[in-house]
Amino acid sequence: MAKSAGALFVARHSGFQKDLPQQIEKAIRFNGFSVVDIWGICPGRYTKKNKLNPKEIEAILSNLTPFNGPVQENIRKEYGLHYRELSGSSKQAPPPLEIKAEFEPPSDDRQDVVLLGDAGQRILTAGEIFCLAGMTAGMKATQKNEYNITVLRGPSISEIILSKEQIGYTGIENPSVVIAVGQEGVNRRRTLFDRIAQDGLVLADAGLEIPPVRCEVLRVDFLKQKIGSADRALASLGILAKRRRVITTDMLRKALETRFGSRAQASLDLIEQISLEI
Amino acid sequence: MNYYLMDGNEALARGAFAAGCRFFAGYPITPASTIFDTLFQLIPPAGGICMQGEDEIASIGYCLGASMAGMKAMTATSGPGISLYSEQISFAIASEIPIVIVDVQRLGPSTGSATRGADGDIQFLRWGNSGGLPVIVLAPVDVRDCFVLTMHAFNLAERFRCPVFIASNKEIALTRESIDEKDLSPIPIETRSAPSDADRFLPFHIPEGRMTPGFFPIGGEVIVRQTSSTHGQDGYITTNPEEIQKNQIRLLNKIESFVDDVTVYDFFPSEDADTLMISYGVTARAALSAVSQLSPSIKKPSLLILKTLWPVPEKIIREKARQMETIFVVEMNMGQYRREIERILPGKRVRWLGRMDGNLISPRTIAEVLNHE
Repeated sequence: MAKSAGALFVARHSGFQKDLPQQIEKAIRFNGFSVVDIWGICPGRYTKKNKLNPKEIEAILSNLTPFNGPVQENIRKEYGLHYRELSGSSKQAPPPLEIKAEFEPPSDDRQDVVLLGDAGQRILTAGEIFCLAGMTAGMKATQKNEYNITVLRGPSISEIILSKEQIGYTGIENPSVVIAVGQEGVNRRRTLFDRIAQDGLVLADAGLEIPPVRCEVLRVDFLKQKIGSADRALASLGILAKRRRVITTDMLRKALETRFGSRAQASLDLIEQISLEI
Repeated sequence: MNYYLMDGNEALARGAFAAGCRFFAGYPITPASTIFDTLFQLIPPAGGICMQGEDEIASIGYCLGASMAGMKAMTATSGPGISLYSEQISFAIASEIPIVIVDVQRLGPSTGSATRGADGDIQFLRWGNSGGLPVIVLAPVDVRDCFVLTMHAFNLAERFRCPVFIASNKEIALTRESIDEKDLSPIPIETRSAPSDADRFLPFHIPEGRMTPGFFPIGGEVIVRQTSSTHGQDGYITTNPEEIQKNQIRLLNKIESFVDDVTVYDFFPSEDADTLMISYGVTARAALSAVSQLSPSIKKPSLLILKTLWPVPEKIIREKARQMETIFVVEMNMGQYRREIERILPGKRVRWLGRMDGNLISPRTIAEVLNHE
């Protein structure tokens, strides 16, 4: 079994063999996975009644296929050595993304923003961008996420807090802005709509059913603007920025450039193109 | 000043790397997998090893082997993986093998809810080994703690030669938070030391004035004997009850009697408080926020946030509770640390608030309980 499983060195010995230490040493010194099958008598069990003796072990072993060292057909590069060769040439990990505070936020007030969507709508990425945008204006940020274990199914929710002060509890009890781009997210947090501040804002995809609220509601027809489902959360940030609500276009552009580097252009075009027409 | 946006798992992985962790083995599990992802980018380019084991039992086994060979090793999993680690945890205690074990807690029992948080493993981490001898358990509150406490965890593992757990929680591990460069400052690193007389090395000999044996790596020039069986100072099995009992007492005392050195906590006193609120983990953030939400007519409680859960910081708890009429324990499980508080403070009125449904305990809920005192 050891041979067919790929062991590079297989040996079989009796525990009473005089040169056993040398044989074990050979196996240890072999540069690769080695198996030594040693036959002996358990020193702690039924020693007196055990009829097995060194001679008998010798006899059993002589009837088995002998193994005595390297298995030619299995010889290959040793795993650890190979690992070190590959890892030695792997690239240094990038340092964490650095953000500098360089803009003024539209408001110094704490902002509690909830993104409600479906899995696959890049809600978490939009949430991250939102945090980064806030940080470019010196705001502290937290992003608490909720999703199911299912992939591309179920709700995807992100709660973002931006504040000049230290943020304690990361959940949101009274949102100032709710962005709704997916029905599953809305359904999961229906009770949240009751708790939106009166001067708050709901920005919702025109195709969604949302509970009644007392605050301002912006309905955006993403379909008409030919904005795909996976882009709607980010497009919503673009609308907020154009309205100078919570973030500005400068903050959002900087966040996208920092996060995506040379790959940022598509996102920058998206937030440029999104129309306020509702 | 530079700022970063990071989640708890990334901060934890970076803390481990800063503490000298150069060996990681784990088996993927939500919500712990991104610790592996981050270390996979950090460790191999630095000449270390970061690997996925064939399962959890093998993964922690690799780590113990690496640690015996002198590396600083860590593994990370969630509750279901800790169950599988159990035997190897006992081995690490028995054989005094330093290791850092991260439990990013999810809502249990069993596989429970992979993407929802809880602090339901904190008694399990302490008692999930055979023999019941102590381990160290640290509980981060936020992203910064994930970085700092993990560095401490490595130092404690080296110093006390035992498993040190980080009791994280999905709600810290996968929550992003802005931090600044000060938050990522490294601390001095401790490392196991070799005894001076290599010729007469006994793997479990305790030199005068020490609580742990000296260390030589397995595979080096000095022959080292390791065993999970009850052993004497030479590493061979012993049946001598006196020698056995002496060793058990040392394994207990090497941690319990240094509780002050291991204790990390935050204390937020309120003037004239008659209630002491005690919390830990992500719930401590809600507890702190709740204090500012109380009605003006309510006496504000003092708040003790424990970041070392095991060994239980009994002295600090007694000291902070001394003038208080009521102790109010808030935790994200069905009452696990309340047991410790009641044990330490007999005669005190202990109130408790807990929740284990995947939602955080909110400041509003805590404030409501305090307002109706």
